[in-house]
Amino acid sequence: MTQLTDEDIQRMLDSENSHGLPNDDGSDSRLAEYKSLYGILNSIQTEPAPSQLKYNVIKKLKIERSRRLWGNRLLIAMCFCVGLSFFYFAMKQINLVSLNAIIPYFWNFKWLFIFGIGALILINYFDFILIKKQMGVTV
Amino acid sequence: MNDQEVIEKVLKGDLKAFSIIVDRYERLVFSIVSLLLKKREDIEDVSQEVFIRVYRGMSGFNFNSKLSTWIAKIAYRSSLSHLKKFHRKSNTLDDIVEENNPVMENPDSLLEIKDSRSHIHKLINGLREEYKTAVMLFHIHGFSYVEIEKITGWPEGTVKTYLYRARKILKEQMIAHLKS
Repeated sequence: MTQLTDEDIQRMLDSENSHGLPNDDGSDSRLAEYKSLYGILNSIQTEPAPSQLKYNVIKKLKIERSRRLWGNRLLIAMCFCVGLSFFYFAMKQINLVSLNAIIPYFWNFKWLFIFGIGALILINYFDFILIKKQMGVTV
Repeated sequence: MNDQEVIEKVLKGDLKAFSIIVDRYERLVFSIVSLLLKKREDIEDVSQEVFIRVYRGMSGFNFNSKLSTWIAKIAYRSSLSHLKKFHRKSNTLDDIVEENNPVMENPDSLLEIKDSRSHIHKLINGLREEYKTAVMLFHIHGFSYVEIEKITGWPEGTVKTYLYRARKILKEQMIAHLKS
């Protein structure tokens, strides 16, 4: 029988069908050595991941989602303001709305606007600080 | 629940379903990242980053390959880019010197090794990165040549060569250890 090369032995052991393997009668000790190496390699277990990995991943994703949500809200609010301004100037252009009439009307709601915007910013800020503290990481 | 069902739930916004993905693949990700990075903090950070990338890219996953292959690819590429980002030179394919003598350098630690499995594990860790990666992916994680090609970007022939060389080195070292 011709002597098998290391490559031949490995190729045979790699193939799922190992019928082509010669009998391990000790004539080629390398075959036995490779068989034992394969056995050990295939039985090695990997190290477990740290227990807090899942927790940290989910927390980060929650933060990301919350950021995206706030981003979307901000975008909607900005679109609304732009639309309103556009509408106002369009109306003004065709003399349907007078600047003198509309400003006093909105002036009545000035505190509502100021507190509303302030509250939104504060809630967002504290929410963010709280999550950062809970995670103990820099986001 | 199979991977496809879990992904469908994740795409509907179910974060709990994503935690199933993390549970299933955290060992794989952690192990692949550990192949290239050494510092524990780096490994943990990059492993988290991998899952975040997986989550972001999930809508684009079309089951052309197994989910494990896709996740492993992200883990491998993320680790490489982390290495590049911090300018830590890893072994290149052109490296001539092979780091294949980790345990032999220290006879005391060699004597302490009784379990052949843990000994082989140490020998694997001493191999150059390409060999180590090929061995880990093929034998320990059970990926095929084609899957390893997808993960690492190495041609199939290169994967086979790395595996062949790595196993030859391991076998020789194992025999040397037994004889000593």
